[in-house]
Formats: sequence, C-alpha cells, structure tokens
Amino acid sequence: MSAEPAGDETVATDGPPGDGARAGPDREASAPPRPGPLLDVIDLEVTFHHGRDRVQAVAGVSLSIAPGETLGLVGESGCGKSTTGRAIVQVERPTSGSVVFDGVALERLSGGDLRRARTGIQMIFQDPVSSLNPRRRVRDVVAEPLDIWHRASGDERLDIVHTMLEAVGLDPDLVSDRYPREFSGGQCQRISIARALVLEPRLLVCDEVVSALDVSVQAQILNLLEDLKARYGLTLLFIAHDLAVVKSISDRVAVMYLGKLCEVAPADVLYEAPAHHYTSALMAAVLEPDPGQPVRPPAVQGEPPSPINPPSGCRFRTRCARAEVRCAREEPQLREVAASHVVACHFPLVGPTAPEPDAR
Amino acid sequence: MTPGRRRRADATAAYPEADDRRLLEVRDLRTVFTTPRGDLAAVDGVSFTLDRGRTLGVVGESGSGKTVLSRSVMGLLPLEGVERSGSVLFEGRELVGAPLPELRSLWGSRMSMVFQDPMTSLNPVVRVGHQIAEPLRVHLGVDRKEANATAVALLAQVGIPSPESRVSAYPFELSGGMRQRVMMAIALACGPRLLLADEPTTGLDVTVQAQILDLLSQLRAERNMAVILVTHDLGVVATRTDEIAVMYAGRIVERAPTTTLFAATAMPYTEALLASTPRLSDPSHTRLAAIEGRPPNLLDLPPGCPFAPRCGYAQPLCHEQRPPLVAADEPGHLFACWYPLGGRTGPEPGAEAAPPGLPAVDGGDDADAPAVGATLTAVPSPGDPSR
Repeated sequence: MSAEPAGDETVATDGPPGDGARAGPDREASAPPRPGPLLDVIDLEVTFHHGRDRVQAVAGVSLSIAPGETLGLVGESGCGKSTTGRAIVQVERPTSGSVVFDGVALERLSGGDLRRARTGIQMIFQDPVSSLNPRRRVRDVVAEPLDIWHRASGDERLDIVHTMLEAVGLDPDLVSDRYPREFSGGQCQRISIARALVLEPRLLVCDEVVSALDVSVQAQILNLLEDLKARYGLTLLFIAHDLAVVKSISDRVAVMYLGKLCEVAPADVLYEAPAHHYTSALMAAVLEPDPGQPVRPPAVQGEPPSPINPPSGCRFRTRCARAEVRCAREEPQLREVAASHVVACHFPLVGPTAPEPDAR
Repeated sequence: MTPGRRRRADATAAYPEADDRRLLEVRDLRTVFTTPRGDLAAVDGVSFTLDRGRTLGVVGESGSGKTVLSRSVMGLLPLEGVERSGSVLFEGRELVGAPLPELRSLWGSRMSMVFQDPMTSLNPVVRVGHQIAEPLRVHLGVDRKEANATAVALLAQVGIPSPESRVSAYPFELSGGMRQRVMMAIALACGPRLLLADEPTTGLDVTVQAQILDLLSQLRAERNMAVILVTHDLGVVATRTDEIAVMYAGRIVERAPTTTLFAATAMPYTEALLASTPRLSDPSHTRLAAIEGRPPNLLDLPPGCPFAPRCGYAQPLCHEQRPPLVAADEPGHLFACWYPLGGRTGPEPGAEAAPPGLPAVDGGDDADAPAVGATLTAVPSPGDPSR
C-alpha cells in the first residue's frame, strides 16, 4: 500500500508526535480568485410538525462554501446543524429557502433529476456501523453507488473499489470479502468514506463523523479526511459539536444556535477573537487536556430553550450575560465586524461594543 | 503511595471509622469473562488505592477495561460467565467473594454509580421523585413523606430549577443534562462514601458537561466523598482529579498525580493520547499525531508490552517481555514501560518477579503477600449496612 493516504506510516514514525505539519498548505495560503461558491444555501428553513406544535429546526440559514474549502458547522445538540446538513443533501426537504449546488437549485428538482444532481454531494454519518449494510461484503458496499449509476462493471468496478479502499487506508485484499461487523468503528468509518468517494463527489457532508470514535482513531480519520480532500480536490461541510475537532479541520467555522447562525468566521479568527457571546461561552466550556487550565464558573447557565417556542429577538438572550431589553425586542441580523467575520449580536465582543480588555 | 498496606490488616480486624483516610484499596484485581473463544481478561491485575474525599480519574480508549474496572470494584457483574479475583477492600470490607446480599446493602448506600446514558438508566415509567426516594426507603428506612421531601431537596442540590414540580416529572420530560442531574441525585441520596461516575458527561453538550462536572466537584467537596471518574477524555480529568490512572488492554500502564501525569509523562501511550487530541490552541489544519492501528485483541494479546505494536519507540525487548509497573522518581508516579520518556531509565528486563499489575513500588515487602489470601477469608459479617 502506498504511504500517502492514511498516513499510517508517516505519522507514527515521524519522531515525537506533534510536529505541526500543515496539510495542503498551498490551498489555504493562496485561494485563487473566488470562482463563486460550490454550494450556496439561501435562507434555508426546515419545519417539523410535532403534534400541534411546529418546530422550526432550521430557521433561515444562509451560507456558502467555495470550491476546495472546508466549512465547519458547530453547535449544541438540537441546534439544527444536522438538519441543515440533511436539508442540503435534500434527505430532509427544506420548507423554504434554496440550496444551490454547482449552479443547480436542488430544492426544485425531484425524482431522477434530483438523484442525478445529488451524485456530486455525498454524506457520511455519525454511526459508521449502522450506516453500513451488515449483510453485504465490503466490496459490494463500496461498489453499490457504481452499480446504481452503471458507472463501471467487471474488472473496472473492482479496480475502482480497490483504489478507493487503498485510498482510505485499508488493505483491499484483506477487507474486500469481509462483512462490516468484522471491523472496528474507525475501520467502518473508513469504509463509509470509501463508499462516499467512489462517485467522485465534489462536496462531502460529514455529520459528526468522528464523535463516536476514540481520540486516537478520531485523529486518524481527521488526518485521512485532510489527505483525501487534498488528493481529490474535495469541498467539505464538516458538522460536529466538538469545537477543537472543528477548528482542526476547518477553513471557516459557522456557529449555530437554536436554528440560526450566530457567527461565521475563518477558523483561526473565530477562536482567537469570538464576537458572539455564545461562541465565547462555548469555547470557555471546552475542557482541554491541560491541568493548568483555570477552572472558571460555567460561562452559560442552563440549557438551550425549546425550539418549539424560541425566545423573541436574539435566541441566545435567555442565557446571555450581556442581554438587554433591545435583545428581546429586536432580532440581531448577521453583519460584518471584520473581514469575512459576520456575527448576529447587538453587542458583539469585537468592534466598538467590545468590553474593556479586563471585563469578560 | 501505600502506607495502607500495613493498615489493611487492622482494617479487616475492626471496621475503620472516619479517622481512617483510606477508603478503597484494590489489589491485583482481575476480571475474566468466559467467552466462546476463550477467557478474556478485561481487567488484568489492577491495583490502586483511594482516600476519602479524593478523585481518581481512570482514562482509556474503548475496550481498555475502564468500565469493567469500575463495575468490578462495585461487584456489579453478571452472575455467570465472569470470574473476579484479587482484592477490593472498601472501608475495610473485602468485596471480592462477598455474598450478594452484602454487596446489595452497600450499593446505593455506601457506594453508588452514575452511568453514561441517563435515559436507559432511569426507569421510564416511574416519576423521578419516586426513583430518588427509593434508595432512601430501602436503605435508610425513611418513611414516604420524608423520602419525598428529601427527594425535592436533592433535586435542588443538583441544580434542578423548580424541584417541587420536577419531582413528579417522568424522565422523558427532562433534557439529557437534567436526567444526568437526576441520576446524580439518586446516586447521592443515601450519602455514599464512594461515587463511581462512568463517562457521566459523554453525550452531553459542552456547556452542560462543564456544569455537571462542576456540580460533581462541589458535591464531592461538601460531602467528603471519594470519586472515581471513568472517561475516555483527558480533558475531563485534567482539572478535576487528584490522580489519574491510564488503562490499556486491561492494565494500568501509568498512574500519577494529575499534574505530574501531564507535566512528566513517562509512558509513550499517555503521550500519544495527549498528542492525538485536537486542541483549541493549535492553528486550524494542524496535523494530528494519530496513534495508528488499534488496541490489541484481548483474546490474543501480544507477548510483550500490549502497546508495542502501535508505539513509535518500540524496541525488540518491548515485543518480547511485558514491562512491570514501576515507580518513577516523582512521588506517586508509576509507569509500565521498558523505555520511558523524559530521560528516565526503565526497569531491569530480568526483574519481572512482581506479579502483573502489582506495583513494584511497594515490592520488597512480599512477605505481606499471603495477606491478600487471608483477607479473602476474613470477610466481615453481613449486615450493618446503615452508617
């Protein structure tokens, strides 16, 4: 097996771990003149009906992803981040709004047209074991998209599967004839990734793909995604609840709360200078493996309110220390506080309303 | 680390009282499951001690045996197909081989457990107040009215708003964080001396996770209760434990006071775990130092160090002989590695006289060894579950 994709050898033998080599440095350093987004989500809304209640899981989300970019989407459970991902793939049809992928508005398509347009987008899910058919051999699991689209058959089909399994760091000769149950969670996630890539998609939607894995395996999969992204020129929407994981893989990060985006910024900027009080609170709550980390009282109390009856105005105001009357009356809109850094807050932590350096 | 070795003999003779700081002493604990493919030692010779009011973090990947360890300490294991040997001395009582009624009298009253998944651990068709009151009525014989009043007080203590109305809620009416708080109220109801928390915050949101961990520390301090915090997340244990034991393939491979473990890591596995964790302080796209491969199959362990196949520093010796757990220079720091980090010298290869898992730090007084067997017979009489 060649050395490049899984990094099986590269990382382990690179001497003491932690030499912060950057993956694909040329890409993020010099983004070519923006060719227009690969994915444009405009005012996306998804409403579920629960008895007599209406739950607006996604309440007007707009975002765009440039070709070759990784956008991280982060938020707590129930904030609508997974629903956003599913609505982009049209697994969940949006109630309103538009999802433009590669110039095509997916929400207007249906049936065969939608399925055809969707081959360019693939999704990987959280639970790798349950997302693989337990009764099919790995070879057939990975080849299924090829079979459905009659893209390849016979030796060519096997060749593609072989290449793909190698690319995700599995030995095709050892795994092809086996069943998913014979593999660990990390290996099943590699199989899922191979299956997602056989149709050569341009956009990969990753929904909590590493949250069920151990840290050591999580690092393997994150490295693998970085490698595959560089190798196949992929664009990633990376949905997760873990801020450190999201930062590690993303170029830009969008923070979501109760169905709405509250902040979008380049990853390093967001973590350096969060502008939204929620982002700041989220980051303060992250437990780093460092005993010197000061133990502070939790930055936010309580839990997110029910999306059935969201607060008026700013949805975070009920847990925000900075909230004023205006926050209840007037819903803050996303606006720019710095270059490509937008925030939906009346009193952002960046710019003229920023608190004194001492105050939090 | 183990002045309690001698003390144990006294402890079994008479019940120790509050002045005895040593709450729990686990010696060479082995838990072996009988499987169709052979015997599987999920916990393979683990020893540690825990003083009252202290917190021990047990860290490991899935399959490292950390959950089985916590259940073995309590004796919460299936009745068949599993063999537990070694010694677990809890407040001077030997729990290994203790009859079930005696264990049952301790569960929930002197030692209790908070599980990872609060939804499946709570009874879905019983109001939470009743579930909190149940241990009070069973163990302490409190009457219904008083038990209910205590349940309300406990809900308030674990930070549930409007406890008077929540006491009659069903689990499905509460959020994940609230359910975990209810679990803690149940576990704390009888004032246990030892709380085992098995991944208590996994599956909760980060903001809620911090709240639950803070609550746990606060309750521990208020009640002088000892806590064993089992987790896969080094971040969870970094700031909230006194000592950490890192487990791999059923054994403790490194054990140290928390700050020492992070500042003076001796075992390459611990270092690798730390290095593979993404951190907020690293710039984005920092290459993670993944540990390649995966934990060994416990049914087919390699002959040498179980981590050797994945270890970047492994030498031929590592694949041949299992390293014993030996003391580092820092007080209370043990590691199991032939070639430890930080310029330390490893143990002498021939010197594997110590049985697996028994820390060589208190080797030398091996004359004491039969006492382990002796304590097995000196089981305190059942009864006296109260306080």
